[in-house]
Amino acid sequence: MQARSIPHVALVGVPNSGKTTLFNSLTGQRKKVANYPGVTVEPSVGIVRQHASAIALVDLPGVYSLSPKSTDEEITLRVLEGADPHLGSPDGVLLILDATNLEKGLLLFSQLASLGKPMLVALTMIDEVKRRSAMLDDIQLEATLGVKVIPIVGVKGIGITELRSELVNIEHWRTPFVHVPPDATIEDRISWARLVAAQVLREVHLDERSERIDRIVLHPLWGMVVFVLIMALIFQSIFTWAQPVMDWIDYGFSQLRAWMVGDAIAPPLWLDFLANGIVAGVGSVLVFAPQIFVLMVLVTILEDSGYLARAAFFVDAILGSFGLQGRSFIPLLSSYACAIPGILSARMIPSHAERMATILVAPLMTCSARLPVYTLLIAAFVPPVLVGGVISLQALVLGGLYLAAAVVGLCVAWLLRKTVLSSDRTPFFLEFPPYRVPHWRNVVVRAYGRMQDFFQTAGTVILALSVVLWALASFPRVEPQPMMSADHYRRMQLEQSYAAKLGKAIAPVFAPMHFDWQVTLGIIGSFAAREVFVSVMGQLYAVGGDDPSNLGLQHALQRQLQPPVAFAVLAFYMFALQCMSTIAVLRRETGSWRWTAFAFAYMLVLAYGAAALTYNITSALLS
Amino acid sequence: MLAMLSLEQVEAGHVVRIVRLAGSQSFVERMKELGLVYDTVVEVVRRSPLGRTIQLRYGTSHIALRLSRNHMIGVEPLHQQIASVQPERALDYVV
Repeated sequence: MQARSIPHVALVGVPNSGKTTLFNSLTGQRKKVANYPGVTVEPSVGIVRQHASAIALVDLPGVYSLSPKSTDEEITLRVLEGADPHLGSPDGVLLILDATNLEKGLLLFSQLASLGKPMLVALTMIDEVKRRSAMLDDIQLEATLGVKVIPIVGVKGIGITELRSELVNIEHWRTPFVHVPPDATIEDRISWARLVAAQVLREVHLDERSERIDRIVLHPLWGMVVFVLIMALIFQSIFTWAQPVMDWIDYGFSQLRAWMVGDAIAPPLWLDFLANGIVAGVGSVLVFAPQIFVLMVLVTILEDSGYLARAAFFVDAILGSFGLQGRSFIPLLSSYACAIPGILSARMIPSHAERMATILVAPLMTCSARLPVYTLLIAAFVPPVLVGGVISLQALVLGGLYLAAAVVGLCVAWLLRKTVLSSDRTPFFLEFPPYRVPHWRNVVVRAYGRMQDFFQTAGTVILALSVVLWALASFPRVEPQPMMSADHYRRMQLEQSYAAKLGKAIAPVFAPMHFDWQVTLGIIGSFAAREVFVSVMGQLYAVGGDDPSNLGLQHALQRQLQPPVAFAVLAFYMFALQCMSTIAVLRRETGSWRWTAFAFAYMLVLAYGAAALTYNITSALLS
Repeated sequence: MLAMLSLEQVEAGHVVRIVRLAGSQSFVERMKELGLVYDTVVEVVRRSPLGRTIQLRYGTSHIALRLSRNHMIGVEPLHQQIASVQPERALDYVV
């Protein structure tokens, strides 16, 4: 909470008016921005300094008016009315007017003026207006509104210094003219806004460039080609560009652990805790970083360029028939890297029911933590033959797992919207921003910020759970026998640990698909992060390694598991919500334990059913 | 008098004038806030190849819109556009 020693200014604007870019350049705080409506989701406060003075700037979710229709719009109204217990009543309002979208901004101005607070107007996108060779009269605008209007170009920093000086000079701000009475209808406000916009903005032309790009990008055929290419690029980047970095991180951490433990058969407890509890835990958090960063960079580029809104238009029809909407696209796409950024980005969906449905199915999208499990089991149990002489059966199975999970996810969303989330049939609308070249600094800062979100929400949970799992696997302590190898000792320790007892106690639950206690233990370990399954198998079968391409591990699994069991494990991992950090984020974002329990339960039922079914079908086929 | 169409019935490339908004209060309010008030002239730029989502242009705004069943935006074709409305509905436009 901010001490109330400096004035507070609320930063307000319609969605996608360049608000967060401006917030970033004024405060230097790393916060996300996007050329995609609905990115600011909760008020964040930054300090603007100029010489000796300073003000606190409160970045608020974009609103079209002061009558909120979604949860994030309510936040804005609450802060403006001084009803937020942490922030109190703002001392002034900084309104962002998007010069390419003046009418909506002026409508908002007409309502803000009734608040009677001192105000300052930042006029953004003036470069965009110039590019379309329109004439913008900011002096006339200033005279009409009655408050200072400062034209800026956020990404280039033009006008920022002047704006900053004006901002900290809050005692000299003026209170805006009230042109439209507080009880006026929206129609009256729109008429006034149109009148003012027509006075200050002349020779408005169509944005030819955006029109031209749209003709290709939204073309029924070429649009689809572009869409598929971009999606392919995203998946390619997750798997081929981020994977090597992830492998280095993974390798680095296992080397570090090996170095810490040295050639001790049974390292002292504190060293074991540091190496296999803490370092392993940190490693399993950090290993996600490259992928999430690469994905976020690409998503941010898509957002900032303006393409994302078009992609949402494209997929809205498909997602709409499953009870979701165009805005569900980014949460679902992000969930292919990790469900956590996916669930967080669902906040941009205004309709409660659609947002909940998106959140509840996001964990079904195949996140990257499942990939090591898939890779290991497919490499060990699917023969490396070519189907039709072209595509490998292993790749086909992997692709099938991804596709099937997505299809099931959409069907679950449809079912949810037909039953428990059937209310709230809101229309879908999304503004198309003009196409713009993304600014690299914006992209990096924002992708970095989103990665921080991930570390803050998931990192702590994963780390804590790794430590708990380490403790379960390390007690009661077993004394090493003479002549025992380190791998053998670790296996013995694990076999006699509380974790093994837990696995043995739970294993009967999985009797229909014949999961033994070792597989059960792997499933329990997956609650930290699913890929832990691989290292648990590595320890249990005393082959050390936690690398899914480890041949020793593959052979050990081939000896230990019947193929139908292995396929049942794959089916189980497709659906089960066995990831504690996702559960924690679900709890936070749905605000309810009941929904969280529901999500866990329905995915468990799906996973259990799919595993049992897979076991029976594959045993029938293979016998 | 011209007969009223639902915005969803308008073919791509046609220009119409909004004459009515119907549905929940929050829907009507939101559409008005977006500038889709009575008498606003909008162009249906294109329709989604896969479904009911449409792209609208009015003033300097471009939006994608998909109406749910209980919401309606009633429109009238502009006079010069009468000739190009779907032929099977043309009779409806006889003054």
